[in-house]
Amino acid sequence: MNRSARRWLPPLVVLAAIIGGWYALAYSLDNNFASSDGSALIVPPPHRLFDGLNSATARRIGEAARISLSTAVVGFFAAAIVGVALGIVMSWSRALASAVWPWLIVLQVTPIIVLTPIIVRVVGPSFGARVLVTVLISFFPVASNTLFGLRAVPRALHDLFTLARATPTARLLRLQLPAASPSIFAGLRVAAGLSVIGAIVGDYFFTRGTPGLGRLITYFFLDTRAGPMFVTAFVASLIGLAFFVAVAVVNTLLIDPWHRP
Amino acid sequence: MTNLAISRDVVLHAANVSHRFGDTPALDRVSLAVHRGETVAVVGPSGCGKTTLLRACAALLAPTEGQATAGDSRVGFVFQEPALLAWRRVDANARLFAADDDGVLVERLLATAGLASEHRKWPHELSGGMKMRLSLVRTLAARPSLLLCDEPFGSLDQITRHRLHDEFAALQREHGFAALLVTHAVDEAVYLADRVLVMSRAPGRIVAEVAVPFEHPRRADLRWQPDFAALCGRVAGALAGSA
Repeated sequence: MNRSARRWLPPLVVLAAIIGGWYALAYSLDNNFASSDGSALIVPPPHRLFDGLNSATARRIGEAARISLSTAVVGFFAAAIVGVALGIVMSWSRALASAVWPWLIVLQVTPIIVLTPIIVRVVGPSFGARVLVTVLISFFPVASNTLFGLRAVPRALHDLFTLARATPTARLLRLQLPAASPSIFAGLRVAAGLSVIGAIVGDYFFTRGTPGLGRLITYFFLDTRAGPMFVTAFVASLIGLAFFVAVAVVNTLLIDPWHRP
Repeated sequence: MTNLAISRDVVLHAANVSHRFGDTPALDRVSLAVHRGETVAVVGPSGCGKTTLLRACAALLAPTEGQATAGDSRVGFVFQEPALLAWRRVDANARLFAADDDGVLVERLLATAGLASEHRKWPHELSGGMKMRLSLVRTLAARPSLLLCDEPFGSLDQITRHRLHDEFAALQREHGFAALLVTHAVDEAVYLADRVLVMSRAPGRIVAEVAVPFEHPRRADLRWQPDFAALCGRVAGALAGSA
């Protein structure tokens, strides 16, 4: 088996297994619950995924994707800024880090629904609220990886900058942030996926304005339109994948040439 | 603490420097002076406080007692590891602390160190010897008048180490810096230094000083001369007696 086959065959085998499992699930569920016109109520089989997907529905999904993508992009960049800033601030002092860290974990594990009323009061119920949910869900890996990366700078390199009488700003910009960048990018890759999840979750709670993909999935679910519901979910997954790949590409261009773990 | 009066010729002066890490004493009343253009080597067993002494001399560590001062000297430090910035190419690492108008100096140093053709490489693409040479180039590009070297050749194979000894000596002749060289290799100390200070095991103190009479520039075959071997034997004897 050549290298290319070795690389692509395993994921293709898994894909075939997933499609096989999908068919098995679709027919075991919807043989009993199929609607009067024969369309699936719960899980459409892959070849009937686009049943009921007319141009109006496609336009709705496209518009919802635009809204969710905007939310995810703004939320991702805000989470990146907040996460890196928090990591930098915590790196200044272990006392400060130990004071702030437990509350960041509490915030991270608190169900977003509990915060919904507060968010509504602070930023209102529409786009800003969705962005805030996205930030809350995705900033943590950036903050923790930034802190880890900044703390992992070797002492000899710090000594080098101390001997050169570098200002704190020069030390941060010319030493600490570049040295921590592989770690920061690892956090950003995780945050990329989480920001799309955050945008979808935000949709569920904050319904004012044009619906995003999360709201549309709920709508199709309540309307028992399994095909469009799954297509919408796939679009959400594609956006998440595109985010992940975009960060990975930037990582490949900026970090991979020099970084050897 | 009193300010030390340094003569114009002395670029580094340590007076009764003692240091403790918690309850563990690391250095015990170490005094030394390094003069302009001179190379002083410090040899001692592992863990005797050589690096601690060097860090105190560089003001990277405040000694528990005593004082070390480099006065107005521009201090450069060569670490055990090359300590290169992995995200900067070879030429960018070399220029890290050089003045903006020292581009010609950086290019010349890179050429002298045999790195001119490697200037666009990343540090991970260099061999261990090349990394060490680049570390030396970067330090010298900042035009130090005093170089503190912490076992800079310790991780290299013997052939590379001997070649770098000669490059180091050539650069020193050209740039005229003084050097305090910490090493555990007796032959390296004798080959490069004008004086060798022998430290006891921890807490480290200076137990012997051996003057090295060989003229500069020294040739590689000096290492195989009986006088050189005899002097190495003297230093090694002092070292063994201190342990």
